[in-house]
Amino acid sequence: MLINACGLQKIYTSGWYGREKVQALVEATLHIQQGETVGLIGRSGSGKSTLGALLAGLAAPTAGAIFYMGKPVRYPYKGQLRRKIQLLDQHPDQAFDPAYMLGASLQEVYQINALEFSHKTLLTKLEEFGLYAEHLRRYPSQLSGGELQRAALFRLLVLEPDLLVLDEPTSMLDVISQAQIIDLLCSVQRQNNTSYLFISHDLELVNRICHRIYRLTAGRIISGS
Amino acid sequence: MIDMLRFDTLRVAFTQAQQPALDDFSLVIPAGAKTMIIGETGSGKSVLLLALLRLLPASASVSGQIWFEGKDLQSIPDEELRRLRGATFSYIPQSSGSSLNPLLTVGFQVGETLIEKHGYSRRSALAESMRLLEQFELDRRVATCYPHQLSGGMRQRALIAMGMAVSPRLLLADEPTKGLDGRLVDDISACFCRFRQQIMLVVSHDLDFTEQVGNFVSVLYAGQQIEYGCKADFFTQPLHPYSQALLAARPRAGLKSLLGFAPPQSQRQTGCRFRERCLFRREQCEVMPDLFETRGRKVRCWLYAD
Amino acid sequence: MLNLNFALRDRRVGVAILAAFLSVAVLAPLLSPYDPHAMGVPYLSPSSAHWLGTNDIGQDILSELLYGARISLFIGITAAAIITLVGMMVGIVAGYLGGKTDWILMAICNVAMVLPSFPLAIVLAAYLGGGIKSLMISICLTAWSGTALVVRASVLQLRSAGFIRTLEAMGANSVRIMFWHIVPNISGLVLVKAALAVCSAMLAEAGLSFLGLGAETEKSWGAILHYAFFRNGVFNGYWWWYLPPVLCISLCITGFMLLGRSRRDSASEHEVRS
Repeated sequence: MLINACGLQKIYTSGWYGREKVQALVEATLHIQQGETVGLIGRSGSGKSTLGALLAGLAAPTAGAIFYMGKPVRYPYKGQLRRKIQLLDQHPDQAFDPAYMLGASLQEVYQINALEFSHKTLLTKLEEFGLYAEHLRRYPSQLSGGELQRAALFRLLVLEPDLLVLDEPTSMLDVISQAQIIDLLCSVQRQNNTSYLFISHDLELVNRICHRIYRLTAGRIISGS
Repeated sequence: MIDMLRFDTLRVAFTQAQQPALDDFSLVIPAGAKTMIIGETGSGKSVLLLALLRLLPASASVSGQIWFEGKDLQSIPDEELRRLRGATFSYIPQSSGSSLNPLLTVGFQVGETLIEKHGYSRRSALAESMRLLEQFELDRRVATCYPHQLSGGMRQRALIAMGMAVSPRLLLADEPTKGLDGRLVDDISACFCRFRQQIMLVVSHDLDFTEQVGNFVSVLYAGQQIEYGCKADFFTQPLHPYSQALLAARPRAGLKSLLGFAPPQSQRQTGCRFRERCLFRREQCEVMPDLFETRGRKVRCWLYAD
Repeated sequence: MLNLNFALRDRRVGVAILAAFLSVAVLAPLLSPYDPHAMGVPYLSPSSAHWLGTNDIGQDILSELLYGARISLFIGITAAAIITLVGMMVGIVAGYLGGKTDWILMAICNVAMVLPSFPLAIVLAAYLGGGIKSLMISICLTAWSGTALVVRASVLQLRSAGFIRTLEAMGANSVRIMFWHIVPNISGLVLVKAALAVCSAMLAEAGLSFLGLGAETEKSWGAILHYAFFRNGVFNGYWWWYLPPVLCISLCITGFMLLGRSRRDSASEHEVRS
């Protein structure tokens, strides 16, 4: 059992003394095994992104617990744990710092985590993702959504995570780019046994690629199949 | 059907790029029918709409003509074009963060063109905006909200309501369903379908939406039109290899991904721009194919040269 | 076609004006006909020997003016640099770290904003006893708060941007994010504020020097005005004494203000994405 979440709840407060409350998640319980792709579907506003953020350690749950490999984990994730669980967002155009070229942004991941970096290996690895030297010299505003999303995915995979939370990763892309990203995800899973939590509103897509599906309605997980 | 909108060898180039963003684009858009333009980013689809409205940045050079009701939109004076925008034409932009004014309420923005171009009073414009928002399944109270208080989907619907408020004779929409979930897409298609008698030109890469709304389909690739035909024909039997790949990449059709990636503007060589990724590539493809006509449809591919 | 080139033209004019003043300041020893400290016949009207006449102790006004450019520009630019740097750092730290740090820094900032800056500067300059250093302290003490507030607002907006969240998730620490990622993305804003800070610093310096709190021996334009006024130059209508410093200050400030016409940030020069 890779990750296990019980009774997760999230209430957002705003206003003076937290008067205004919005309950994004009422009760969510799910589990993900190593190497499987679990789908999470629901309409906009059902709390899918919130659940994804909680599992990825980007926000603290108001109630409930998350277990990773059997051990309880709390927000914020630190050290090794932080590396092992990552999130890919649905907005590729906001994934990179607009002030730096793509090459510099990608190199940064290696620098932050003190990993060995070599320009040549970077280029060879990027080829699989359809990115070449000329892309590295461009700024994010000069690249297409598909290219940026592939680069963002690559950047996350450098950290060799066990679990990737994919928050509607292809909803902003055209059909062909979507198919390409799904292909990449599948090949990575075959190589590294990575688990995915695929959040989406596209039932057809989720049906095709996920081993199991959870449905989220108004903050509650209804079924798992 | 009288053709009311006609593109004539339209070509748009930006001074920095070597290749034009849009090349040799000719299309006749009949009234009462909805024409959908399909294309990826970089295919030139947004540029097309902006060229029509003359809203491209100064670094763009445009050649060719766009005829609307007998007038060439590229050569009419600025003042006349401004009168047409918002009243006769309506443009629904992509719902990026900056499409709505963050300092004005949604209700005001939806009704703004009514006040300016059709002489509505503030109160009646607000009433009309509320009615329009309800048509898009947005609560009346949304009219008093500011854009940042709404979710992305709600903002998109407000933008569409804004575009349809003036009942324009020509409606232009840029990716109206980007990032929205299935049910919202259905609602929006229903609204678009209700729009009759006028000309509609919608740019989208959402194939489901295109199938529900469109009557005619035109496919853009790397700045050129590569296929044109009526919707039913396109979805049952796509002609161009790229169109076939598009339809095959849909989840329900098998999620087949296409090899390679669209060439960036700097790398387009002579000859067919799709040949790097085409399974049917032949020697002939080193030369740019013309737009061939076959069975009432148009395709830019040597496979269909008569 | 949309054409928004006014800002570019203004900036070019501003650069031209400032280039002129800066070269004058640098080349003052070569350009000025006399040593500004050399005394001679007082209260002379403009003539071929003294283009702008002489002051109350016979010093050539034109030479004073040329050397005065050095002092005024030096104080203005240095003070503005300090104001901008301090304001930027406070704004970034407060905006990014939030919480208690933000609360404390904003409390200090609010106090700095609320204090009447000019009277405070006068009192401080008088207390510290004239001279360039005390002028700098007086000018800089409260002026950084404006920049801090604007920078903080910008950082708050940037904080929720997708790429910042991603960097945090990848393990980047706060310092790295603040220095390498936030600063470049607000640089456009900061540069504009810097240009405008020079304007207010120069005005403040001119005012303080006019009141006699400035440097004694090295005269800035404001100090020239001080003597013009207090030695009856104005009363007697010696326009060649009080008008040139006023014109110089105004032109210089206009130059910096034009320079500060906001340019688009590096990121927002989007190409039209087709």
